[in-house]
Amino acid sequence: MPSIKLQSSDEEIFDTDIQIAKCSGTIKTMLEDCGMEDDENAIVPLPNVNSTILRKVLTWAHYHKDDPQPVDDDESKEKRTDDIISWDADFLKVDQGTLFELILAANYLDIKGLLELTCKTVANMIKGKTPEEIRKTFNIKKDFSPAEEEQVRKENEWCEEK
Amino acid sequence: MLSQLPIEILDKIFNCLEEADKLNLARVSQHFEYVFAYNARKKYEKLVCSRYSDDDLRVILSCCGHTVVHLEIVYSAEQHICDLVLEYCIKLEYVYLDMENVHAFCSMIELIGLGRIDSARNPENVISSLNINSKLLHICPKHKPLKLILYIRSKRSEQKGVTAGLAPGAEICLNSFVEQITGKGLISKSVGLLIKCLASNWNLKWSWK
Repeated sequence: MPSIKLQSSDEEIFDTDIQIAKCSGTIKTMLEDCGMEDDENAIVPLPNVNSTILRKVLTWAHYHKDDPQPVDDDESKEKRTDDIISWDADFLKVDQGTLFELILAANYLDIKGLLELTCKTVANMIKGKTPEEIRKTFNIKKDFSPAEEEQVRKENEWCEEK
Repeated sequence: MLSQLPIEILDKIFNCLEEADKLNLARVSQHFEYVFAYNARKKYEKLVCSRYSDDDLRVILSCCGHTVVHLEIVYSAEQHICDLVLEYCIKLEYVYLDMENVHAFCSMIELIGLGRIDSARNPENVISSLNINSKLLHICPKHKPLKLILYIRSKRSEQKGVTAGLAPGAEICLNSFVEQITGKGLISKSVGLLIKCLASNWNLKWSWK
């Protein structure tokens, strides 16, 4: 099977099956538009993805190589998040930094399936949590001004009194 | 970090959340308030107040109030919610009002700046203060013409509309209509008085839903 060389931001080369590489819309466009498909020595530079993340992305792409192309859903409808298969769930048992880097890589490489999966995983980490719990989970600082805090407190005074 | 993700990705994450979780995420920080507003787009163009708690309404109105065109008050709205509507709903054009609910009427009166009803929400008290407060309408910069859509929410609404000789969406001659439905006991005399008083003090457009 024909292969292609992908170069990560830290200059590691990944010799990859061309069909697996093509699950990325970005790589597919580069190969087709630049006529690199028939050139065995051609190297596709991916300056926004480091080798650790690219390896993970390729592992995911290899497992899902026979999946049908995901269709564009109606963005206005809420997506299900309870349909993650166990292999994907295990695959995404990573620290938050890696998870967010995978999201960014999936977005840059235009891999819809992986982007959807990673977004669903983050959504599942948010669901059912209070604002304070979300802040704690993702280490987010409250950035409301004291005046805004006071306004909210005043607005909620009536229910605190009850 | 979650908050450092690009807005188009945060938008996708929001799309995977139920409304209650979206509202909780909006309460996390200002940044997520912006994302909430971006994700909502025109979702709150028609806002039914009774579907939300006051705390949820605070978030919705402060983030997306500028997109609200239709506002439906079924039950009474708290004063601070009326204040938020006045502050943020710059595109508000229609207020839907349950004719059978005096409390909703009082809230609407607060909302459009005709008066403030802090105590017993007694319609007669409201009427007696209307003449004075309505003068403020001409100098209030936040005030602009509104269409009030009157309706009766109960199951008997169709029957009432028919009894009053109205087809849905019909333009109505307010005074005769109010007299008609008050005379037949379809709405209370207090509400009837309120409607007529509002109409004589303020250039409202009335129609029937």
